[in-house]
Amino acid sequence: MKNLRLKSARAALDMSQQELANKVGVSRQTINAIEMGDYNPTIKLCVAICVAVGKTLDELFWAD
Amino acid sequence: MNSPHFVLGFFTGLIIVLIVALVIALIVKKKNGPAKYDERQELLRGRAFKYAFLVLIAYLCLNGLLQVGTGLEWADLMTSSFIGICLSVTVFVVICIMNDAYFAFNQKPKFYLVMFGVLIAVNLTIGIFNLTNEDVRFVTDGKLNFHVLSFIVVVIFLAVFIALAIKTLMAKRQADRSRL
Repeated sequence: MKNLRLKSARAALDMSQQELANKVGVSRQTINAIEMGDYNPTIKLCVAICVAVGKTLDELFWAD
Repeated sequence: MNSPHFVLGFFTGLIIVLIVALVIALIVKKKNGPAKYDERQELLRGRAFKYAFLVLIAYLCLNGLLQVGTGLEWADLMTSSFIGICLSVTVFVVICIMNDAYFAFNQKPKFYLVMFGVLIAVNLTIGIFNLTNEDVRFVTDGKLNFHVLSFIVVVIFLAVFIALAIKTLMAKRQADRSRL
């Protein structure tokens, strides 16, 4: 399932996948895989992404 | 049995290749720092290792069964071993490339594209030279010999080169689209 909430949170900050990837220390393809729902990140990476885009875990990763 | 000159030449060549590979690896490491793979890449590299290992096991079993069952030895020991290793490494590299897990996120694929291109050109030249040289035989006593390895290397690096070129183009397009 696509993670559109992460994509929109990133877009709201006018941040590219590469910029977010650099901030959290992963490859751009990993950010893309998370947004496309192809990869389920560890809690450590989820927290790093939340900190980078200023959102909570619930806002970005909790199932509706 | 190979002559001492052949054995000496073979191991000298092998040592030179290893030294060149080591020097290139050290230069790349000094320039980019140690390779850093993220968690997704580590996971996919592990999967690729598993498939490469299974392919090697399957190749060795099939080759062994073929020789024991039919008595057919299609290549000498060095050639068949090298082909098995190449096959396994190719499976690992192609799976990693197709899943964006071959290069660490602090490495640039362009350098490797050039390097693979050079390796293809060098091995193709050696292969064509051997093909046109009447003294060189690709088959000895009904078995493929090591002269065929340059063509095997060309096929392998060509597969890796194509996979890498496709993936590099796709990544570039994806990166352009990623900024909303």
